[in-house]
Amino acid sequence: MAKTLFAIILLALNLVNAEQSFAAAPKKPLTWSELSAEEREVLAPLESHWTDMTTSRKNKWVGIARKYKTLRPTEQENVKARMAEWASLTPTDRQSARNRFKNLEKMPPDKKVKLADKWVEYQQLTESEREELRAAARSNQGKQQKAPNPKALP
Amino acid sequence: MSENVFGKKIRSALRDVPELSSDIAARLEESRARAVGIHATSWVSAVSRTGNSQEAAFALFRDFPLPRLLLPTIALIVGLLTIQSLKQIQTAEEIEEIDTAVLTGDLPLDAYIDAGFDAWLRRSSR
Repeated sequence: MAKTLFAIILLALNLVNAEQSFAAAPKKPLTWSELSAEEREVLAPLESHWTDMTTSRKNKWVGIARKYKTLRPTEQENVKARMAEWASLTPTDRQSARNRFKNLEKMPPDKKVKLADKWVEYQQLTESEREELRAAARSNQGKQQKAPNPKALP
Repeated sequence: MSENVFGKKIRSALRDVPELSSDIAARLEESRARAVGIHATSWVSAVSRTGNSQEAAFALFRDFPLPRLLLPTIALIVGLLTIQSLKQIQTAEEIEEIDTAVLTGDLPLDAYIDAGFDAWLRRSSR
């Protein structure tokens, strides 16, 4: 029994060590000059934001920069064009955007392919119509936050 | 004077006593039983009983509650830390994946930022 427990502890410690090495989390914040020339070129729109970023965000961007050369040309253009705007969003707005992305991903394929068309339709609405929809979305979100969580403990 | 020598002196002194009163004898018997109980869990006793230091270690582990609890507690803490570490890594990887998809996708950023678009999709699907 004791031998089994020792083995479990040693295995778990090795696993934690291996996973941390795999994640390659730096022990100190990554400075701009520590990036490779290629990474700096890809992440150039973020240079002014770099010192304000947390280590986890920097790691994320470095991961994206490393994938950059595997992207299609249109995808590479999109990344470069959107990077600075994305980085300048508040953490709450970024998380809301991620949640919307995840919801859209759950749509059936026949509706997903029409999303670009739906965006065009939405852009053709008047500003007051769009504002009304935003207000409805905010009100809906408020109701969802106030509603009791059925999974919450009594 | 070592404990063993002192113990031997007491033993020989007690052997020479002709008769003890019943209450003294009872107290001595109780003390003896307690001492034997403690001795039975000692390392020396464990080794002499088992004749093997590894077996003696397991005997001590079995007899003392604290070492018995310590190892499973350590295993539990290490297990929980492992799970937390893996969850953090998984969250970081998920965020990277989502951000890459948002940045490279066909829809502009505003489609994900604008809450009105979400409401528009729900309304137009009715």
